[in-house]
Amino acid sequence: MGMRENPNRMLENPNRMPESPTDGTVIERVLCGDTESFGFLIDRYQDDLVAYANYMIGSADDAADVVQDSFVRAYKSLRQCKDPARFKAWLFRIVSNQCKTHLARHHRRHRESLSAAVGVPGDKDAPDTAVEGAELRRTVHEALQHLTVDQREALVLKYIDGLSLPEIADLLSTSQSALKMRLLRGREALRERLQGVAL
Amino acid sequence: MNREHEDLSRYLNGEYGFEQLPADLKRDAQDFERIVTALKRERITAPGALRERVMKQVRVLAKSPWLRVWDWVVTPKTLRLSPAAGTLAVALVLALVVLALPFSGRGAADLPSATTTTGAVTRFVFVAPSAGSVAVTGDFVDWDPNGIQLEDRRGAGVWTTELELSPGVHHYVFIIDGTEWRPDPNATSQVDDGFGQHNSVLLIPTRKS
Repeated sequence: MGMRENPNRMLENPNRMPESPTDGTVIERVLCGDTESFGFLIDRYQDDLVAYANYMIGSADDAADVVQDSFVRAYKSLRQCKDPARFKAWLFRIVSNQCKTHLARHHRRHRESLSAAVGVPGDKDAPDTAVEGAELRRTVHEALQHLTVDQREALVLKYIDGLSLPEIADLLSTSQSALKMRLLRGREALRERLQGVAL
Repeated sequence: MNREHEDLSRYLNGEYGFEQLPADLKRDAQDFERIVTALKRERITAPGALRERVMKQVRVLAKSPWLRVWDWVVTPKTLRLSPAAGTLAVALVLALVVLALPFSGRGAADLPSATTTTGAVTRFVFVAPSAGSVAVTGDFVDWDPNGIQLEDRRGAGVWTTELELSPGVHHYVFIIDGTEWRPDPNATSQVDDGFGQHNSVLLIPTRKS
């Protein structure tokens, strides 16, 4: 078994934090009182989480609020993260629950385009094609918002965030066979919504 | 609805190679990949101010005596007692139990006027004489908009229900007449729900097994 570094000793010399500390190392430091180290976790996951929340609730502003609230909740509950090596899954679960809470409390769905609100970098299409491309993206994004929360969640984690089936099943506390069924229903519903749309 | 071919499902689940698909399914697979590509291009990044907004709250929480007390309460401690002190402590607890027994049933006839937790059970109480229905919702029911209904057993407008909640911090609100979400006026703590409203906070202590 490998030796674990005593986080209290690390606190004596703040320069000893490695450039890319593991989540476990950062969490130990935070729990030992080094509050500022929590910023490492924000830097590491904020983009993925905001993108995920936006796919889930369809509003850039609300997605940022949900992720902000989720990070604060994660900080408050950090001691309850039993396995720091799986912090990412734990954090995604918090955001996922917050998205569901948001959707339950705000029945209306904001479907404003994030590309309009924030801007999607790197669109290298020619102007005409770019307009068509933007419309297509909006259409597909809107179609995603019409799926059930469970279907949308599974599709985003699998095809946007690129998580494996076992990872998603673990994150969503479901079996892989149930997850496959959820993905299948989600894909079918998405195709149904996009019938007649030139892809 | 067009059912998805089994082989296409396998491919899209990552269990099958693209080359193994027949030509018509390859086209279907590429169609789905175009949908995913369109979605990926709607991907956004976090606003620049998010990090500082979170850290601002985290710094306040780090200084919060309440959070330190909560940490102290939930962190297991080793208690070392001499046999004499242990015996004294047990005798003291027994004495308190004996003294408290005559009073234990005293409040049973009267409903409490605020949400309270006794042992494993939390009794939610909300006083609303003019309400037609009252429900409670919170993180313990995934913020179900229907919530769990409270009962006004005496018709006096004192709505109650009892729930067994897991130890930890829970956030909740009451739903009046199915539409109006209100925090518990008697809760000892409220938090901003991030959307301009407030949630009530309930602390369920860890139970000894």
